Amino acid sequence: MTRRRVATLLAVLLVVAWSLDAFARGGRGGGGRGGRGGGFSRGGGASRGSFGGGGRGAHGGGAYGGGAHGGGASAGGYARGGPAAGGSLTAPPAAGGSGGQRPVRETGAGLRQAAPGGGLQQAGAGERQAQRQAGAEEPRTAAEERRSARSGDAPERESQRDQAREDWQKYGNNQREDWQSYADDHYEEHGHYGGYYGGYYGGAAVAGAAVAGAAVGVAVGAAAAPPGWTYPCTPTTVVVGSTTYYRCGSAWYTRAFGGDDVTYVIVNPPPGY
Amino acid sequence: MVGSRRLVARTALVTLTLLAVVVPRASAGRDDDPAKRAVSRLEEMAKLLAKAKGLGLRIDCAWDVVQPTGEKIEFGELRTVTVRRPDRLRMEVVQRSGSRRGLLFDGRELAVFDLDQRVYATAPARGTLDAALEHLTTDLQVRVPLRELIAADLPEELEPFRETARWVGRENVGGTLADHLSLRGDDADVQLWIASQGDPLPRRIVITYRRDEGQPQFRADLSDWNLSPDAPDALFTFATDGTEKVPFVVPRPAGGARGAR
Repeated sequence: MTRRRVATLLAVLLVVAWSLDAFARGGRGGGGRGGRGGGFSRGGGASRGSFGGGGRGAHGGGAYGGGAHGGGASAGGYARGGPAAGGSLTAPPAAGGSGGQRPVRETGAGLRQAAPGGGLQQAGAGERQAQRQAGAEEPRTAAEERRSARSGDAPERESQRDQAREDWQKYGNNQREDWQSYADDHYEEHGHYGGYYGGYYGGAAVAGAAVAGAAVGVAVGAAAAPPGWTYPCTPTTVVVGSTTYYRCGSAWYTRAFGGDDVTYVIVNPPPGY
Repeated sequence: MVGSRRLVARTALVTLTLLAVVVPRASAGRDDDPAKRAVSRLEEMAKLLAKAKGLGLRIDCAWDVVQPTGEKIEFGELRTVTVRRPDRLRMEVVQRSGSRRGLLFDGRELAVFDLDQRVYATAPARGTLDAALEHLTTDLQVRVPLRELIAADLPEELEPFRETARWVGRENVGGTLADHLSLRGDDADVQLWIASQGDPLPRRIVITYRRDEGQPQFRADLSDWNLSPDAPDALFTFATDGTEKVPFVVPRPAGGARGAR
């Protein structure tokens, strides 16, 4: 009799102990499995991982339900950049190409956002975009405050930037003006500009290379589209000194880093051309 | 009768032992609410990373790009990172397309290179790694995903997330038991998995840009952590042999006049 009582007591205590242990591991939701803390829902359409319309029911037939966009317009030329490419913990990079792998195409993405008549979804997107920009003001200010709090760093960076600009300007303001008008002329002619200001950083080195190259001689390469070339023509490659130029008719291009991607910018012809 | 007493005594001993083991754990669980637990884990991680003299890690990341059709397409890359505080960084990037590129900072200059196109660009950047990263991402607009994690001011970067931090649960991520945290920022929601045992290192991160069209995500698995990597000076110097120096160009601000400077 006593043994039975003791056994019962032991069993009850074991159950209590197990319950307490499960509670300690976070199983407040009553599901029993450890780690289910925080009261977060674990279901939803995406959890099914189905290729079909699994998510639609859970989201109540939202705007992104399958099939609405049907025809899959852009085979091949997918945009590769965007806010998520930057991988920042806070606000995504500002519009205009940062964070994009292909900033030249980002210009196109910008047009997409501004395009009128895109239907309900586009209108809603525009509204959200406006809301985002309004809402983003405050946190970006906070981020800027943090940046300025890095004592001494900001003025130093500014001076580095100014120095780089001065270096570029040493190449000659006249040259820059020529470059600008040349670029404007050729923008109209070729319909491309690349969406860049032009060379700020390291521009002097390229200019120097071009001048030095003129004395050394010019090598002309075979016509072939280089990697990442997005213009409608196939350029002729011309190497002048240590700089590679790409020529399409009367337009000349060199390579540059736009963001973290290699892109092509329109430049003056090398000396002798 | 004597046997019964012995049995009761043994039972009492077992019971007390069980209670001694279990009750403190239960109490700990009750005291540590999801918010407090999340903030605690976040602070431990931030402190560890910010104070490390060096960092080595692999970032296997992917991000959504919302296409004009509304379709989301994923791209990705593998980044191998070596940091030597206060002013050295090497980051090698292999994109899923096979393209190989990277960036270096040697305390005086930033260099960005593309090994396949055999080009590189440099910009002066004297100062700390944090300042160089700021210059790189803000002025030169070069992408450095998760740069906050390798910056020495990580605790300050995470400060805005403290109030919204919640502990979701304990999960196995890539073979490591990790605390899953949820953080809500003003523009982005962040999910972070921090190793539950050993050093509180981040093992996975998912960022959802909820205010952007299509709510694209950035996802990354973080592995091969090393808090004292072998980092000689030579590691942060770019060998320019056979490569062409090109300029940085800065994307024109959206809506800006063409050619404005």
